[in-house]
Amino acid sequence: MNPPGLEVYRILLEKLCARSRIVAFLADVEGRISWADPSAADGFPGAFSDGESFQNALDEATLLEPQRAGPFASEPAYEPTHRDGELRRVEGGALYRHLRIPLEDLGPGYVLHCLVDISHENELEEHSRLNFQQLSSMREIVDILYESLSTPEVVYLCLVAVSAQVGFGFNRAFFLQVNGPRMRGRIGIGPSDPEEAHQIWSRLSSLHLSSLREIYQDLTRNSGVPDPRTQELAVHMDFDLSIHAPETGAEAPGILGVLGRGKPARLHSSEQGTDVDDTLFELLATDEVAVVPLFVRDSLAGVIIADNFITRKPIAEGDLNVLKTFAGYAGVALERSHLYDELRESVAKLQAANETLKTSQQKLLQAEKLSAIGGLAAHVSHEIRNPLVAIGGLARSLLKDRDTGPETAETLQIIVSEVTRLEKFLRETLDFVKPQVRDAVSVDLNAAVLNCLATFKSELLKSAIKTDTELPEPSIHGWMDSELLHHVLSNLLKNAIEAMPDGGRLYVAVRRNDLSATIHVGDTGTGIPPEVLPRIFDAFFTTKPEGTGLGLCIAQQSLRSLGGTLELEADDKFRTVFKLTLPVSAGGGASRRSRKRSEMSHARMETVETTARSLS
Amino acid sequence: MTTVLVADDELSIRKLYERELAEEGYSLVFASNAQEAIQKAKEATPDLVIMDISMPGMDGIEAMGRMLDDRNELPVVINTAYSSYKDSFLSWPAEAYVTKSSDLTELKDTVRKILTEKSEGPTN
Repeated sequence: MNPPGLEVYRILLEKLCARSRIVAFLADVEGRISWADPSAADGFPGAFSDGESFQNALDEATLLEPQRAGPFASEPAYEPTHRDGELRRVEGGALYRHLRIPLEDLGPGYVLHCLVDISHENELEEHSRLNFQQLSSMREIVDILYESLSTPEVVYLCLVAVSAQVGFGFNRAFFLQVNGPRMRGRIGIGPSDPEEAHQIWSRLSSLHLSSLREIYQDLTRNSGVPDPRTQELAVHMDFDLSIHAPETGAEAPGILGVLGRGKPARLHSSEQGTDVDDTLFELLATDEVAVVPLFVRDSLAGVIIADNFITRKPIAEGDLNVLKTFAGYAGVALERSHLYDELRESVAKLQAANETLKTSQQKLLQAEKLSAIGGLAAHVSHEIRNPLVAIGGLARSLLKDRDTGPETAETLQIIVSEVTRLEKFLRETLDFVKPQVRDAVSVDLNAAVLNCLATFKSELLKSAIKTDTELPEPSIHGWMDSELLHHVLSNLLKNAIEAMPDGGRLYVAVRRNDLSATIHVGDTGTGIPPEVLPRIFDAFFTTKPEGTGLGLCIAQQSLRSLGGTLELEADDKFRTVFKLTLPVSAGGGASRRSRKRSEMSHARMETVETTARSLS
Repeated sequence: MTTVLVADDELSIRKLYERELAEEGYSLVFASNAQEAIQKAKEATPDLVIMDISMPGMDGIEAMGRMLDDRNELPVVINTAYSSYKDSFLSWPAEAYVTKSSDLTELKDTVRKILTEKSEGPTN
């Protein structure tokens, strides 16, 4: 019951179908096929048999997109365009646009169905869309890369750009650093299985992170390593390229050739390669990768390897072109960050050198000051002492005279005691500056502390100062001039006691750490005002009316000559703490453990830190 | 009688020592500089020399050296306001080193001790 005229259409349509990518069939008002292109049988799930309903052949399964344009038959003036009609994809086959063209001359309800194969067209369209997206991404990527000055950040950003959907859309990206013949994986990002991919991608889309910057910030905010398993994979990539020396260069197969040519390329596991390629494909468990060599100042600095591990989407020529452009920008960004790193390093070195210079200058200045003091002190001491000897000596002589009356004797006694006081002052202060030969001997630190404390017994009692001592058993032996150590300790104890005129707590402890020992002298006194702290070791600096400003200065310098130091440290318990460092002697009463250690390395000098509280 | 030579450039010190050491029963010879001291050491052949270091011209250390060249056994007590020479090897040839003090007890004791040992020495 075919309508007349159908035969004419059939001949025309068969010729059209044979020459084009169109599958055509005619259906009547009820959707029954009255004619079908013979090629229509290929690839479609159902048969386009005459008399059958075409719905059987084009079931819902093939429908990709609902109909875009309105009804056809009801609009006589309708001119179909390729944009109209629903999209259908046959499983494993081509993509079709389903157009309906009413053929009213055959009879009411007759419709010519054309399935236009638009696979290719669609691909092009998709590409142009992607290219546009990639171009705008590229701009953003370049902007971000050029803002960043740290090398790890630049590398990380590159990987984000390569792997992010708003970037170049690869599933995973790895950075391998090339250092001489060594190529080692450093960073890897991207999901390691479909489940993780789903989690990551749905999280990212729910966050509406539209820009690379946001994605990068999100990644770095959450943790240092966003994809631990992928990162681990990256670290496993470790190649010694030197063993492939004959195979390097532009002519080499596989990835070595790509590195030799220096241009981004696709590699497939089926292509001929070296065992570097074999290992790489095996590690990545993928068949195709994009390889992007990165150059810094004309030398190969690294390589980005990207793949579509999850989606298995083939790497398109367009992707590669974008990567080529990207590689150039990435290289420049890397070069900038390398330069910046070098600059920063140089600045740090300069700063350190400057700091050292400043310290040495200060030390030199202090040494100069002290040397001047030494000379001056000796001279002053001599010039004052001689007349004192005469005054005091003659006064003593007169005192012994029988002719001297009691009143004169009293006056002479005053002269004698005043001269004695002055002589004592000379002995205790200026004489200490004398350039004398000191001998380091093994000193029992506990005994030194206790002896020194004993000399302050009456002062401690007078000021109602409680003393807490903490001494190790057995004692520790320091390597020091015993007279000097006694003098320094006395100085520190005296200062501590003077800082507590209304009583308090004096704390003295000798402690041994693993490699050093400490003597702590602390007090609960007034503390040293912060503005004074930097000057307490300066010669002639003092806050005491009767002070010479020499005690700490001389103590520090003298200790230094025997390998010790005296420093000031902040402390929670005692507002100010002096740290005295001196070599420890190996023998004596050192603990069995320390003796053993010193036997093992008897030449090693250990240090004792003495911390003491002081004033200036 | 025991003779003691005192070399010191300061008159007040010489006066003091004259007063105090005469009390000890010594015969005293004085020199106000190193050259004079070397001269007096030859002429007066003292039993002991009390030598200041810091004097104008030649210092006491050098003068001591010259004296010991002549008389190796001559005891010299260095007596100076400087305490810094005490540990110096330059002063080692001296029999004793006493820092100047208005209290002459140490000096007197030292001198007495040296002279006693010296006089007892040959008999032992």
